[in-house]
Amino acid sequence: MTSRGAIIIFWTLLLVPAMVLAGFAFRQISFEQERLRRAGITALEDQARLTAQNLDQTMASIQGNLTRSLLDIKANNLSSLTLAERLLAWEKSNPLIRNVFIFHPKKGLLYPQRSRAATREERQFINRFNPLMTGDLPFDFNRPAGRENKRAGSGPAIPSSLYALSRQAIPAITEEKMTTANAPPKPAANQGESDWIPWFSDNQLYVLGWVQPQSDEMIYGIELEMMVLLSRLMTTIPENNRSGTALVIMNGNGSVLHHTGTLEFDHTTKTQDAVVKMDISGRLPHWSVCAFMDNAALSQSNTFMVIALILVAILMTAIISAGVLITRLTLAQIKDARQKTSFVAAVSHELKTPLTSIRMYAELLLSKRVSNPEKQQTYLEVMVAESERLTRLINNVLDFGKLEQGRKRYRISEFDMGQFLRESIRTNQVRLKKAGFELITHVPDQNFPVKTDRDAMAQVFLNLVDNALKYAGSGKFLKIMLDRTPRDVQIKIQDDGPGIAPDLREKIFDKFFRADNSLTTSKQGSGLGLSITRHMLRDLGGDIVMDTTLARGAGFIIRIPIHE
Amino acid sequence: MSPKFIRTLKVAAVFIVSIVMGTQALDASRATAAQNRVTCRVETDRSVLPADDPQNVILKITLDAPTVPENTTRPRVNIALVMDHSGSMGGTKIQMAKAAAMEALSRLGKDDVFSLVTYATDVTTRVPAQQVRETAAIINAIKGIEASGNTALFGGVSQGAAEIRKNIEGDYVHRVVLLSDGLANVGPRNPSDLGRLGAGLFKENISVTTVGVGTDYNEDLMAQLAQKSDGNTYFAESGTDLPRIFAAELGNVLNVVAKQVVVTITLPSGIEPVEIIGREGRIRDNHIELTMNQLYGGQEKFALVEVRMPGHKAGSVVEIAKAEVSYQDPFSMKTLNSQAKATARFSRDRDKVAASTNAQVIKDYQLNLNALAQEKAIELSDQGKTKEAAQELRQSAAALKGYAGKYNDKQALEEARDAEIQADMLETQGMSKKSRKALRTKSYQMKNQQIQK
Repeated sequence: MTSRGAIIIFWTLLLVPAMVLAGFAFRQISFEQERLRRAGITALEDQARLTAQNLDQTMASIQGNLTRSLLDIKANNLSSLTLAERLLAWEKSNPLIRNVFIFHPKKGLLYPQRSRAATREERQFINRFNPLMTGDLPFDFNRPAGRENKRAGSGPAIPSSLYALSRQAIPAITEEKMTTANAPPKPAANQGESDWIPWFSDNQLYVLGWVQPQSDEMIYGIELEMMVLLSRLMTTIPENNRSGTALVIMNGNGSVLHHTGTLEFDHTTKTQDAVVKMDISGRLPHWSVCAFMDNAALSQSNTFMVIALILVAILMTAIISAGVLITRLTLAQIKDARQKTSFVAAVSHELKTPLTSIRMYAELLLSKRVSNPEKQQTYLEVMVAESERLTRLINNVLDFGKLEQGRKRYRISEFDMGQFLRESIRTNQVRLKKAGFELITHVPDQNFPVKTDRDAMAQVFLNLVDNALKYAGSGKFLKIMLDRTPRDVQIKIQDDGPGIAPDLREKIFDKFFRADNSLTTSKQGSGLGLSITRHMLRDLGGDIVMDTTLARGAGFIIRIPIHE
Repeated sequence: MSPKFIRTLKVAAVFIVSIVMGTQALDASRATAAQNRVTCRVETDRSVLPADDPQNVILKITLDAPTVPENTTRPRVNIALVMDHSGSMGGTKIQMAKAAAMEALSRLGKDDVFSLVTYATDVTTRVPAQQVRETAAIINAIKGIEASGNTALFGGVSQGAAEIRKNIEGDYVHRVVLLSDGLANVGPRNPSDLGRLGAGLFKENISVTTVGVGTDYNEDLMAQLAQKSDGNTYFAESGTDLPRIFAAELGNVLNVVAKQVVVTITLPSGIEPVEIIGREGRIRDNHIELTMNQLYGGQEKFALVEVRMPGHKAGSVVEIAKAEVSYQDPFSMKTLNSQAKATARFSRDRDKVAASTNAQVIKDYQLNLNALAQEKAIELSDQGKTKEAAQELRQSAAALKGYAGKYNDKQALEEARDAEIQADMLETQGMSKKSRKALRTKSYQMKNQQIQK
């Protein structure tokens, strides 16, 4: 019981923690995979944020520089014509300027002139910014309301706040930055007003920058050449080398402005499929830096997952199989130990019985109280028989030891099995008859040449006869038959005793096994006989099996190779 | 006076004379340089105009670029080749494009700058801007190009321009050569957007020449980009034309004799500008301003302007227009000028008026109108008005034929026949991709007097 308990303890102590460990490892691995994914996304996010910040900064510095240049014109002393000349010359040389304009709060649009607008481009420009160019919308419409009073009388009030809402305003900081950070310090009077207006027309983004050096005076400014700006911005974006990902700059319509990265996708994809989406800023409203990720990009970490799982599986298999092996060995050892104990008890009992008889008869004879010579003769015969039994028993035990250690030596000789069997039967005839057995023999009168150990054969025969005497005592007969097959000589020994239960038919050949294994059993025996018999026969190239064809009783078939 | 003083005087005199002679020699060399200048002519469709009535007059301002003298070293070239290697370029096209790139490379000298940008979904700079010293590495880079992916045309051109910008300060002729066979599907893709990019690059003195391959590219986009940046545009139906086109383009680029050409036409008061034909320009009061980026050696480029004249008395001689051309000479990097003016006499004699007709001006006018008609036809057919489009072409053909009959001009007749064939095809089969491209390219080449080889 203790050993079984030990096994249970072993399993609980080893297997349960192993299982827990495996589960934990599995969880960790899946966490790790998720972590890798997250790390990838975070890296992309950082890259996207950096890109967005860079774009915003570039945009801010471009706008700052342009504003400064606009203010540097010092339009106060210039007529609108000269100013237009200057602005046009600037437009012609600066790729970032698409159009220039001059607007007077009272006189309206001074350049480009609506009537004589020289180019189609300028006409389109006026149409695009019509609310501003007609004066319907003040240039500072997207300023916070608090600043409004500063510019009283600059035009009619905002017609509708919805209008302003539809154009995302640049945060108020923009202006601060431009006038304080970027522009060189100037007397407050010369500083003037300036701002940048992101403007949507036909679903496209246009950016207008304006300055007004003195309130109620001319407002003039430029329209940014968005395509050139985009083209310049793009070349500053570092390449995205992460495999299976793409960094994409999109405008508000979801169309791709720039794409870097190996991941290709259908460019009708909407921004919600992006793993990361960063809006650039109010300077480029609705423009965003998006990162896309292919699920296949995770295949690398998938391999990692698979390898990790295989490792865990191997570890688990090793632990479990080792556990099973150890358990089986332990169980086998427990069985062995138990059988050895019963063997020792049985052998001691076996040794004691003949010894008791011998001692009793010897003491009787020694006391000289038995004067009848016949009785003396009988006593002596019993003593001899019992000694012989003792010798056989001890031989068996010795043989068993030798066989187990593989030290058993055989003396091989050629002889005729028929002749040998007849002799053996004759030797045991008396014993069998005494036990009430009718002996039926069938030994054909022909040659059964074998080359084997004669003594071992004698021991095999004796063991089987002893077994029959011991266990088939209620039986009527013992059949001994000799036969041959093309390869073997076969000896069949059958009785009509109680037989052996079918599930024990192989076990009876195991060492120490006894069908009835109690010390109180009426049958004597060590449980070695059949085990030794099979061992020896197999050593000599033969075998012994149970004859399963019989209806009742027990039968054995011995095979020994023919030697011709 | 001491002899010493006389001697000093003599030395001074010799010195002064030598300086004067040296200046004269300098003047002489300037005179030879003047022969190599771009000259300017102003012509009218008739030199004698009918008197009394107000009328429209066609002005043709012609720029004659001098041929480059053989022993002159040509200006250095800064060229960026921007190549589409999207999936659709696979097979012959990419092979021919590579061959064309190598052809282009072989024509460059050691001081020229070459860069190679390819684009598909991504934009890759295969060869950063570098002087053409070690061609083996460049050739390897060209050979390594394989076709796959989408078409990031805008990004490709942007990167090409960025490569050009690395040497923008140098005295180079800057040129991006764009080769594409497909529709841009990454980045901006409207013809007008690409046109704006071209306009921006033009200000930086960078021209974009566009080469369309096959019948699937967006010819409007390619034409706009070239138009606004004053590059050339080509249509190569199959890839096999590419090496020839590249050779022609390189020949042009290597032969630039004037950059940043600005033509200013000043009209005397009373004469009003009506229209600039086939080119974009700015009309301000009595000034008409036109820009052209580059003039090639031996090339004649012209602009046509229609003006409104008030009535004048018979026998009076009136100045109609003054033209001034300013341009940068790529050899000396100096800005040079050239002027011309046109005058007209007025007469009541109809025969005299008829006899004074300048056939060449009328021919160029008609051909340009034909080019505009072709564009109009494309526009109409895009709107599904195939009949009107064919009608437009037929009218133009008829006008051309009328001219050709009157002046017995074979080229005009040929153009007229071409227009008729196009009209027929348009009516029977509709506008095919190929003929749309051919029309677009042809009208572009006509309007901009692109040298055809």
